[in-house]
Amino acid sequence: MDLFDKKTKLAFLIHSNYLLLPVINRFGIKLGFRDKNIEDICLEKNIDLNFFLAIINAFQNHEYFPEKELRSFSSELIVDYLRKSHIDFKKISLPKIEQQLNNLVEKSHSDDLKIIQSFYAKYKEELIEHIQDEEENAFPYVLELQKVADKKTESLPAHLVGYSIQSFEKEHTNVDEKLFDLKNIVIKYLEPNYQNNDCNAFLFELFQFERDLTDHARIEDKILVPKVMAMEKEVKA
Amino acid sequence: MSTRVIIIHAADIISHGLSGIIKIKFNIDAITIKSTDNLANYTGIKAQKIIILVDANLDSKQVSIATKSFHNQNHLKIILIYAHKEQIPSNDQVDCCFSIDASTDKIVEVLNPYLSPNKNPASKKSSYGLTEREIDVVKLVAFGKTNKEIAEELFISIHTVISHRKNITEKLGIKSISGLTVFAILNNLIDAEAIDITELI
Repeated sequence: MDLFDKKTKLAFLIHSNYLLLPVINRFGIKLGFRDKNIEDICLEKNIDLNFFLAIINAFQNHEYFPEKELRSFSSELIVDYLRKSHIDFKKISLPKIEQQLNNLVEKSHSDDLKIIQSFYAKYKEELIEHIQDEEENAFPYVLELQKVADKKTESLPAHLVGYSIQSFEKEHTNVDEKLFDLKNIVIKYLEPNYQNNDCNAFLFELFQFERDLTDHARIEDKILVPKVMAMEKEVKA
Repeated sequence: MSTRVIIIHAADIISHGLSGIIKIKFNIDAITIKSTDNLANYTGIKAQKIIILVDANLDSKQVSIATKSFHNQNHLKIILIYAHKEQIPSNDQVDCCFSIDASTDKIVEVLNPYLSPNKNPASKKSSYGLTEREIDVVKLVAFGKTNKEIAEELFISIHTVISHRKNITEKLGIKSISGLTVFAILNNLIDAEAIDITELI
């Protein structure tokens, strides 16, 4: 798959993969691109060009991870992007999935779907807990550690001293598994007494969300965590 | 999770025809009665859902009085069978309707959202390629038991439990414990009412 570069037109970018829409929104980019290319828009919106290219290319192409370059991005930049995607998940993706699911349940009178609704509720609860944990513990730790690495401050605040980045990514798998199961139960084991369109709409949302979430997790696991581990080594040496 | 169907129609040819379609397509035995007067005999029915298919020729007031005793205690749906389009009421007294001229496919399509087939646990058990033993394990996992507890209950080693669980996940494509609980409920391996759903799912 071809990589996008700074001369790529934004219109071409979205024609190539419309799933990138929420990603560019997170950088404050809106539609109506005319003939602007990536370099133009980054200049206009004051966006770090290389970081933008890295994020969209990593989304588009799962093999794309130019580690050295990715590690050169500041922690603030990465954390800021991850925080924005958290907001999207909570404010846009989850309510949309919920709306589709409620709609499906209301119209189909199926007991199976009510059980699936409880399962979804549990999944959502766990995901939000996980997001909260990152927001309240992991991200502040990363930002403080960066300050120490940049010699802006001498040491970590007392409550973060014993913390390490490896302790926080363990939960990913559990939450991911549940989303996978949710999709698979609907696909493989649902009784066929539901409205096609409603169920399709619900599944489309789930697939799209999973894609977005996977990308988010890859940025955490492949960019943030290795970068922080390198900083930890340096600071704690 | 049972569903009961009552057909109220004066014409035997229609009520028997419909109950035949419902039996074949949804595996549900419908009750057929000729007028709303007889409906009172069935108010004691124990079911989670009651679907009443009613002749549009019957007086709609009488129908709503007769079906009133079913309200509140059950999930009640009323479906109208009409002969002429003019008989379709403009208000929301009925949940949906179909014509006596409707094809079997059309009738099934209309009823589909309301009628989940009554499940037959015995016939479902052997599906999904799980062995009897794996089904035992799924049930216990669904009840929230740990591998150790499962091993003790089934008189097998923990290693065997782990290997069963690995096979189950591979066969079903379900990884999480709550996912397995959902699977067990959907397939009548365990009764949803016997467990605390909010805790186990």
